[in-house]
Amino acid sequence: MATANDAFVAFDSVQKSYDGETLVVKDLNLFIDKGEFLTMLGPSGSGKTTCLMMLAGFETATHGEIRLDGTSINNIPPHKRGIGMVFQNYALFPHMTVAENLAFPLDVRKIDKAEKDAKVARALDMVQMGAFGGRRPAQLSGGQQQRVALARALVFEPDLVLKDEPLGALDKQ
Amino acid sequence: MQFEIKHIADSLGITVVYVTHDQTEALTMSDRVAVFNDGRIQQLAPPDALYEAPENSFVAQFIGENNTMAGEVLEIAGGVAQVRLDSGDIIDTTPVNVRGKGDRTRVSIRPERVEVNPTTLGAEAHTLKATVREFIYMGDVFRTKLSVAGNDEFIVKTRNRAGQERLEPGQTVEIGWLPEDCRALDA
Repeated sequence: MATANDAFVAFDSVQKSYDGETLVVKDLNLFIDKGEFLTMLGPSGSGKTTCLMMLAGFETATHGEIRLDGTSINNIPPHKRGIGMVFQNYALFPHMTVAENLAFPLDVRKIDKAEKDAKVARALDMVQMGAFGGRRPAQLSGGQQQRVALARALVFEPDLVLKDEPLGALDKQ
Repeated sequence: MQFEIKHIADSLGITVVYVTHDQTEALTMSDRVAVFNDGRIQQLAPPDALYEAPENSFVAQFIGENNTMAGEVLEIAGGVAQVRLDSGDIIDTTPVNVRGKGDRTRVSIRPERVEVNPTTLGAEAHTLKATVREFIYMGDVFRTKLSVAGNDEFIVKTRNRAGQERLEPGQTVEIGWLPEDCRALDA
């Protein structure tokens, strides 16, 4: 099991406050192994989503350090962390086809066309959406759109994938 | 689709950090689950440890279904906490986060670890009298609501096995469980 020194993802004494008074995350120490599937579970307002957002880079830690593969990422912006994100508020671009949606993060990374096409095809096949590359998001079911969102997170072959919970998910508790 | 993430991540060796408040998703997909409340991790454990050995009342209540009974610790010795329930019944429990005599505790037991026919459990099983309040047929399982030691919402889940008795409201029965399945947690 991962320790502070060899963890792939490390939250080291992390705190988060939005108003400078109340801590929404209080002294978090969490060390995640490479290849581990770790779930943050809790009721609304428990701090779990804030932790995910700090790891993604959309929130900054008030105190402590977050490391990825041994390197502090506190000051690295989200798009440079190399993390795949399946986030509900990352909608698919409606005017692009499925394949174009997947190619978009690769265009940003300036990858040549043949390699790009191969990566897009591979990612779509992984989520069994290989036949849908030419469709637009509006022509897909909700579940198919989620698969495409997952493929888009996988297309640049990240070592770490984050997934938040669906918006409007009802609390079963 | 949720489970597919698990399969893809496993096959590619990808690390996944997943946020949910759906405990079934958390239990079925994770290597480990971090249960959050009030800005802190309450417990970090593999799914089976989290479900079977919750370390505090919050985790016991949040994960799965649980019967609780309030009481006071009489004695802790030899890995057993003797608890006097507020109903007056004295039971043996596994001490988890109680320190000693006089501590208030919430004793917690899972509905599927309670036997309606406690003779199957052996001599060390603890038994209590219970009154049946409601019997709910769910196909694969029976859900029976009982009054036990002052708790009128005590649930027992029984597999619909061949010959399994279907209890009737008003019936008095003897129920039982093993002390190791009965955990003395914070009040």
